[in-house]
Amino acid sequence: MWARLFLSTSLGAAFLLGPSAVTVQRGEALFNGKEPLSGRIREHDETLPPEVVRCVNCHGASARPSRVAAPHLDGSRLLEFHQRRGGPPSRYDQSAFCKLLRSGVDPVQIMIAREMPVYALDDDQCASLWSFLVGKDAARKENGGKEKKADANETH
Amino acid sequence: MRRTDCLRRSESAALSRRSFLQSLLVAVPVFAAPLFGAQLLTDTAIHGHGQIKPPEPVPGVKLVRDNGASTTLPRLAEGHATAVQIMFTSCTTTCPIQAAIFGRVQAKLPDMAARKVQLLSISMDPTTDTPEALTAWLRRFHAGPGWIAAAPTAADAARVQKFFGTGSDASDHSNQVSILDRQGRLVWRTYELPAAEEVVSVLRKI
Repeated sequence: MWARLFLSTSLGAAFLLGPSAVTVQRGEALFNGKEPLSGRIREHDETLPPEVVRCVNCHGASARPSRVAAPHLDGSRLLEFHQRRGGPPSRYDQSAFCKLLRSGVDPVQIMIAREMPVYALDDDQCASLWSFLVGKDAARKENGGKEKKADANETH
Repeated sequence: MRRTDCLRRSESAALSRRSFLQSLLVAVPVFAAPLFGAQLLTDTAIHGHGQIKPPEPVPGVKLVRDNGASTTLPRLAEGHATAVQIMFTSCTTTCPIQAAIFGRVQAKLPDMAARKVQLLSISMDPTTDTPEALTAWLRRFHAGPGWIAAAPTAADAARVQKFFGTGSDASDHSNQVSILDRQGRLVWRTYELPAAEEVVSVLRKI
């Protein structure tokens, strides 16, 4: 019982805290282009000017698409299973998200649209973007899973 | 319209090894589509890329230039090797990337005027894209003298879209670059969002 109480308290604290505000703030700055990102089209040698590879250009609420409509990025898009071009369903964790940003390859090895640039970003930048987009949803999901698991262990 | 593909393209001895590899990179996902289902082809339904044989005269559509002058596409293209991209100024997604690519082409061709080479950005949104809007867009992307922008008249927009683009409205246009020869004929289509080197390479051969 004490173990369960301790676990619940810890998980509750993690849930309340979620990703740090600083991390989320940096993620938002990267998403909106206030902090520049270095990106290029796959197979191009040269990087593009930061203002044309901002995430918000395509994934923002006021994006005006040309041909390719980029998805709105949030927990339901990234943490739930979705299919890409008829491939097997997949979802993202931080590692898969960072791999996609750097290589253009999704979690089941399908190339994303060529229009989406690939980025040279460091681990901290990537973690910040991930936290901004799905941090709270990811913490909630993880805690939900652990609590269910704890309940299941208690039952057995 | 005769379309070419990467296999046809590989027949051209003039192609660089790099360009050929790039075309394979685009083609492989298309051939691999059956592995994942048929959705890919509809997602990326674009004109084929490579050389256009025989060359196709551009349609005689009316255009209004960034400087306010009325002209036609054949008149504008006559006497120049022209790289054409389709865009609209309020597009926030791929159009800025297309503009950046033309910016690179411009930087790699400092002798554009002497070579009679020009870059032409044609808007698919004639209602919004007045000469003032086109001028502001060119300025935003640091366009030099050989890079012009124009919008078709509303009546001619669909013909432009049909010839250069893929969809039926402004938000569904191609990201390819079309190359016109000095007689105003379409002779080459690049793959989507080409590297500047690809555009420069073709322009130098015309």
